Amino acid sequence: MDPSRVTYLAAVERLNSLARSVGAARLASIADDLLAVAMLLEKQPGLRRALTDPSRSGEDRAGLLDSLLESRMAEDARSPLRVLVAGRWSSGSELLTTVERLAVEALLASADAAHELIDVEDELFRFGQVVEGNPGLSAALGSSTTPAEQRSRLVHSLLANKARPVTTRLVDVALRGFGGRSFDAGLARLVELAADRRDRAIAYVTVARTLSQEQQRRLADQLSSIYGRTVDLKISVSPEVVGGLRVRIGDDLYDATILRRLAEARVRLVGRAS
Amino acid sequence: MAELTISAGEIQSALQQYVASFKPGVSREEIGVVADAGDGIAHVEGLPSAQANELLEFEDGTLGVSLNLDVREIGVVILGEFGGIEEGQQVKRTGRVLSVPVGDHFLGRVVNPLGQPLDGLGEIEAESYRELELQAPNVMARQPVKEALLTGIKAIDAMTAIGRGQRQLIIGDRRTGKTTIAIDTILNQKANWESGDPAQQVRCIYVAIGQKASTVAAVKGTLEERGAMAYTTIVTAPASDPAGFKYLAPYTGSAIGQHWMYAGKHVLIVFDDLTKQAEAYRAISLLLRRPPGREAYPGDVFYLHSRLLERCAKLSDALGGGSMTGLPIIETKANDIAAFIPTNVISITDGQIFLEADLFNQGVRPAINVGTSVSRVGGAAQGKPMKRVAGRLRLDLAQYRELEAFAAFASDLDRASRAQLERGGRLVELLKQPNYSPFPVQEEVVSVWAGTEGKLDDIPVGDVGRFETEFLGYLRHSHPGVLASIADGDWDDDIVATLTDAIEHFKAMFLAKDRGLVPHEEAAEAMGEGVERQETVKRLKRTPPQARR
Repeated sequence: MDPSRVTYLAAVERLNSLARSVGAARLASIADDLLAVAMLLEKQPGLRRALTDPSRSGEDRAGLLDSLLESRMAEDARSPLRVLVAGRWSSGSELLTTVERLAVEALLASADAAHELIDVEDELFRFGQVVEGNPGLSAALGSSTTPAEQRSRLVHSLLANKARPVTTRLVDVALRGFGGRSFDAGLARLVELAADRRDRAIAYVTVARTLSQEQQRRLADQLSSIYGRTVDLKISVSPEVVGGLRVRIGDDLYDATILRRLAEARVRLVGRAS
Repeated sequence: MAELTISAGEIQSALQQYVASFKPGVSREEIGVVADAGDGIAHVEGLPSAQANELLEFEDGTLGVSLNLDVREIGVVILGEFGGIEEGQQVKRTGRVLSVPVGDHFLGRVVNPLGQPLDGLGEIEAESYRELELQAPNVMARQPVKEALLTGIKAIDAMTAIGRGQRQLIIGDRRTGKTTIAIDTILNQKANWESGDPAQQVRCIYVAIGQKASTVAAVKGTLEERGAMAYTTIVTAPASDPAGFKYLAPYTGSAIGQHWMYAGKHVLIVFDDLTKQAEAYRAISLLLRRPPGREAYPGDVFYLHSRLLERCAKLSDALGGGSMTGLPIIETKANDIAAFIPTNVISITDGQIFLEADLFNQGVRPAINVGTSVSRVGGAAQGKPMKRVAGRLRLDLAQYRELEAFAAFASDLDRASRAQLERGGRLVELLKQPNYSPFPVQEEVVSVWAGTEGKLDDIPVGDVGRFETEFLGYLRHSHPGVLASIADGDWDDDIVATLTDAIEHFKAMFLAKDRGLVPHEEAAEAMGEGVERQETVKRLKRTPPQARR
């Protein structure tokens, strides 16, 4: 396996063992610390370079991290970071995205500890739907010219008292470009990560009419048997597909809508649009 | 015949059953999302199992080729109209690595770089599909180039002979006759095609990259008019096409040709021109943010041409002995053959034909610069007669060019130099050849023989062309046997003797334009004493024109 992946898994393991011993609130503050470190690394390329310098030993680099953060961060937040820094990285930005990813993992762990992971996942998905349905909001949040803080205030004003704090924080992560993604893609990835933590896969289903409970159960069972893990359905109703249904899991698409068949028939009849 | 009656109800129920039995299948597809698009390039997120050079399908049915496979996104070159592609649209995998349909039905057709017909003659039935990026045949799969591929142009067949499986570069400034040489070569394969003998037939492919559509139409018109379209395929990516098409066109032509080559057939492929392909590739690379190098070309621009031209080969007998001869064309700026792309392609090919604007303007057409044109295959690709007669031609001409420059300032020359100049002038005249009139090899041999053996030394320079035409006409009528045996590859003293007799005989009949220089006129006797006459020259005064009014 890729050495950076091994390092990441070791850090997640450290985080999970931590999660078993501390409460949800402490985990959330650890996540905040990790996010702060990610922002620091983003602003300091020199530090990124030093922390991934392959000519120094892993202990030296972990020592550098400790000397910087000892007075500012508690030991339990530093320990998964030390694991990361001691590993091998091909570039500084790879370390940066991994720290960010670890922070997200900590946020999800805190939601898990508070038994609200499923709600966070749902809130993230629904917020994504809201943004997608409103072009003005979508443009404002996806804009790369306005600073992240300003967009973050907009999100806070929208989600205040409506969503859980973890959800708001995760949206903030997506706003800052989670792993270099666009806002929409970042949010979708966060929903997937949340489902992943519950050991679920997410199927995005588009239908013309709402499915009955029985139909939903059959569809979920069928998909679970294909993918070998429990599949949660995120159903959106959109009359424009006319009939049939469309299922997207990760990068896979099963499209059996009337809309698609009509489009295919048109292409076949008149040839390419050009 | 018994009457067939089926009741309407029966038909109805059969139809109903037929409709009911339709089962719409749903298949799994892998999709990605367009992250950004512009200038014929799109970045696509997702599609984790896409392969390099795989065809991807955008929402509106446009195809694209994946070129950059990055960690999270794929850099795609859009093949076709890119106006309808927007951020957020879905992109599907096709599972097909970039490939084109190939087969004999492509002869006589004009296709785009995806192998789709452009000539309105209907679908082309493909024998199979062939990937664009297949590695060239290796060392063991090849054999040395040894059969001639005749261009029908005296200067080329005599001095820079081309063999089947060779890559011969045609290089020169704009409007110096580069395309004409390629078209002449295609036209010259007509007799081979009509012979019906697969060992002689040469299938031709003309790849037009970034040309004006009118130029391509003119080429097609020329080929059709002279019956050469029957064995020719034109692959065209005109100037109006997006860069992706221009970059792919040579590979498409090459794939169509390789299909024939591996079937043991002979192929000639013309890339007109690779400068424009390199420019299209540069545009794509810069848009894909690949690091630019010299002249902003990407680092692999050498490989772009080397892997293309390496696919031209002469296959071993075990593989059927097919061949693909490549005539890449490169356009220079101000005769600079030391620029980046020209030097790259010169080093890849087996020789070059260098055309010069100055020569072209002097009326020397084809405007081949003898000094800088070479063929690294050389005599191995020439038939015996040509090898025997053309040996001295190159040297004579090179010496002539040297002397000519020198003699421009000197009036007094020794006899040897003057003879050399006279001979050279006639050779240059002899090698001039109008376009679209390729010579059969036996006539080329006779012409070159007459020139190098000094048989034309007593013909006025201005009459050399006419003398040649008329003498060849005379030979065709009076000595067809000699021409036939030269065509069969014979060259011995008997043939030389016959030719010498024939040319002497013909000279006696030949009427030079300038009466004062008719060769073999009886020598005039010296004038005797006292017979001289005196002529008087009177000066007349002209009245100015206005005075006459």
